[in-house]
Amino acid sequence: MSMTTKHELGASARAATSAADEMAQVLALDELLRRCMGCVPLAQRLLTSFEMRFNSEVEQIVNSLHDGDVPRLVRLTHQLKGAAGNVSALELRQVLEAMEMAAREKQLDRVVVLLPALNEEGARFAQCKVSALAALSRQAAASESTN
Amino acid sequence: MRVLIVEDDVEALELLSHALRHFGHEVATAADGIQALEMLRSGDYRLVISDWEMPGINGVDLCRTIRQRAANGYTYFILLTARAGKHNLIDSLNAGADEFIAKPFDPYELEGRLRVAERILALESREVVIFSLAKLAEARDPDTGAHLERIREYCRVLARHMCTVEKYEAEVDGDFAQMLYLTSPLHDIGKVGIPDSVLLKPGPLTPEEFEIMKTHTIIGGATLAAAAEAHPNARFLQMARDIAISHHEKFDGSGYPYGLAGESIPLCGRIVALSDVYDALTSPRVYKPAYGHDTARSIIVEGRGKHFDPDIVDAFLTCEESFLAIRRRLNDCELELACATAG
Repeated sequence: MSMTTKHELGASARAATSAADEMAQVLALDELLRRCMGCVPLAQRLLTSFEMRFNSEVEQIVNSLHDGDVPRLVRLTHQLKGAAGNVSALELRQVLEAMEMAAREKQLDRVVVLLPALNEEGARFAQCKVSALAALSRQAAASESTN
Repeated sequence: MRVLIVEDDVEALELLSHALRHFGHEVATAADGIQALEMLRSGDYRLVISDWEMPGINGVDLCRTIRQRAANGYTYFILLTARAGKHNLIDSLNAGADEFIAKPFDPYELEGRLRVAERILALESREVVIFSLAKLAEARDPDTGAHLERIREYCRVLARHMCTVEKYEAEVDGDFAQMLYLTSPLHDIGKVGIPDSVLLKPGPLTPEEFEIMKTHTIIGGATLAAAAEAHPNARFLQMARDIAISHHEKFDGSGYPYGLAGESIPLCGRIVALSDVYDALTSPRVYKPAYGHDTARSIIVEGRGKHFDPDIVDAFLTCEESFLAIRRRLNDCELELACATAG
């Protein structure tokens, strides 16, 4: 095997590792499975229901921001932060934590600034969720065949 | 363990319930604080895990309300929240929460905290059981006053001293001393089964009556043995059983009910035997006045190796000052005087 091929393989392995690391930051699947006590169907259900609620709750956040309803904004960002944490959506949780803190301090302009990041992280989560669900299905199938 | 989870977020509730059931707990759920309070009225739950942010009554107010109500037993309260910051931790502890766990929770950490809760609730049950049983025995005993309080203090003094004696290092430690302190008031629990005509007889007992009186050791031992068998992890019940059955045994084998001798008599029983006799000697009875400490001391020294374990007599002689201090502090006449003055 030539050095170049080795290098190319190394680069591809690094790329794969970095993609996995990135995914772990967006959605820490191992952590989620640990919280679900290894129950794959529960993890799948939680991921799906989180994605379903995400868009509607972001919409409510935007509305409360528009209305200047700070208590509601605090409650909604806190609630969605908790839900993101439960499914181990780490970066999404961080953005929501920053939004909640800004809302508690009544710094609504900071909340507005964070909105694009929220949408961006939401989109990344949705992408990662697809591969996560596929990985979970494979895991479930493997465990069924072992049993 | 039966756990009440209070959580308005459906997914969080499912996650939490799943983890707790996985660890073998029985789970009930409430969607908010009001429903939780309603369920707690049933008296079926002694452990609550609650979210902080909820509609209506939030987790901290729920905890405060639980602490204010007059309940039969302690409710262990774990607050689970995504709120960060030390001030939130302080607020929750000030409201009466026992634990504060950050969301998202780690199931193994949560399970560890539940084990702590179980241990604390078991301690409360133990204190209540011992206290109730001891009071029951006391109610049937003509020699009341501060007898039980003194006995347990004497026992603890002796056990603590014996912790320092090399021969007993493996058997006696701080836990042993504390357990003896807790359980020694149960030594005469079997007297609840002795007829009034014998137990409350003012004069000396006939030989037949004395035989009946002696059975209080068997009755007490059997009662506590049944409880100890049903709860094998409750070590205090085993010690209480040993004390009840053996505190009238004598070191030379001349005691009752079984005529056990030497170290075949459980150590806890040997310690209670000396403490009980010392207290009987230094307290007034209908048939005798209270003897002074020196007289009691002579009688106990006379019984060294006969009635009493020589090691325990030696411990008593080393701790004489503590015995005197306890006797002065828990003197029935002075207590009665203090109560009358206060009243």
